[in-house]
Amino acid sequence: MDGDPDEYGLAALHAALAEDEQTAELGLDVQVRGGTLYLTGAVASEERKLAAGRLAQRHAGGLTVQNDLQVEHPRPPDDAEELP
Amino acid sequence: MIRVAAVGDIHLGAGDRGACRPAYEGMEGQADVLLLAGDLTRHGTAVEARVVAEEFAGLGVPVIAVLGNHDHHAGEPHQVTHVLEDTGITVLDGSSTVVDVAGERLGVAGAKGFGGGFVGRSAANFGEPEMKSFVGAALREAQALGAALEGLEADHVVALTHYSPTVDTLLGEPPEIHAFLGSYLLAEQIDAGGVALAVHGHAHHGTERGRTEGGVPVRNVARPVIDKAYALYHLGGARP
Repeated sequence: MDGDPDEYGLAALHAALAEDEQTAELGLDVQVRGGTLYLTGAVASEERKLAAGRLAQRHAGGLTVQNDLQVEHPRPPDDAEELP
Repeated sequence: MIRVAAVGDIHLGAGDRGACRPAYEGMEGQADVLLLAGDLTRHGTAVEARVVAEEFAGLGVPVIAVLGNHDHHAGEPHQVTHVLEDTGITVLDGSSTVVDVAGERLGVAGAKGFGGGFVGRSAANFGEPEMKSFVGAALREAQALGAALEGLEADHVVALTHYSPTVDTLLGEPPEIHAFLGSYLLAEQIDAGGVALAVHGHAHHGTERGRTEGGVPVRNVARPVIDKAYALYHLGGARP
């Protein structure tokens, strides 16, 4: 992409994160703050974090991409909720 | 008392064999049943479904699932269902099952559900064919859940969907997309169905705990929301 992404550019990245076969992530967020493109949300593996980061880079124009995606490491619960 | 474990949105891909199994080993000491609230795969292929089937086979507790929107992406939900059921996972789609837990009967009615929105802010079955198709899908899914609940004989009944029956558990999601995350039509069926607990996924940025208009506890168990391998609920009372 030439130049910094505007709102439409960010919308295109958001759509690409959902629709690209390499990512298929519908729950991620993209924001530009202070000239940096931030990628936030949770993904299941380091590999998926990197794939989303690469896709964001392709849409980032001249912006720096900060990949703040968190990789989930789910563990069994410590307690249960009591319900009637 | 019946111990219900539940999680949604695990999104396993073809290369994820073995990725989540360790967190589920030994769960029969904690739970009597495991509910999977849809989006088990990334793209809804039979290959991914095989990974899901292997991850959840032989856990020592019955595994009951509904499919989610991701599980429909490749256009082969029937193959996905077939692969899961081949390894003993029960897949509900407008249907129900009853599990006997030490003499108590847990009934689970399941349907994927769909969007459409919530009271006063919902899509209407009017206008272009595309709109009628969208709302029609929501209506059909709610009716399918209602049909599954009807006549379900059990001591405790759980409604299992992928889409949310209430806005409560969407807190954290942009209100503009609520109509794509669930439908009050599901809650209407849940409130009429003598349900003790409603479980759903889909809303990754939502909140775990909410209620239907009728007061039925609703739990959003999308994995990013619960931040655990599964959430655990102890159902103690009798069916109202």
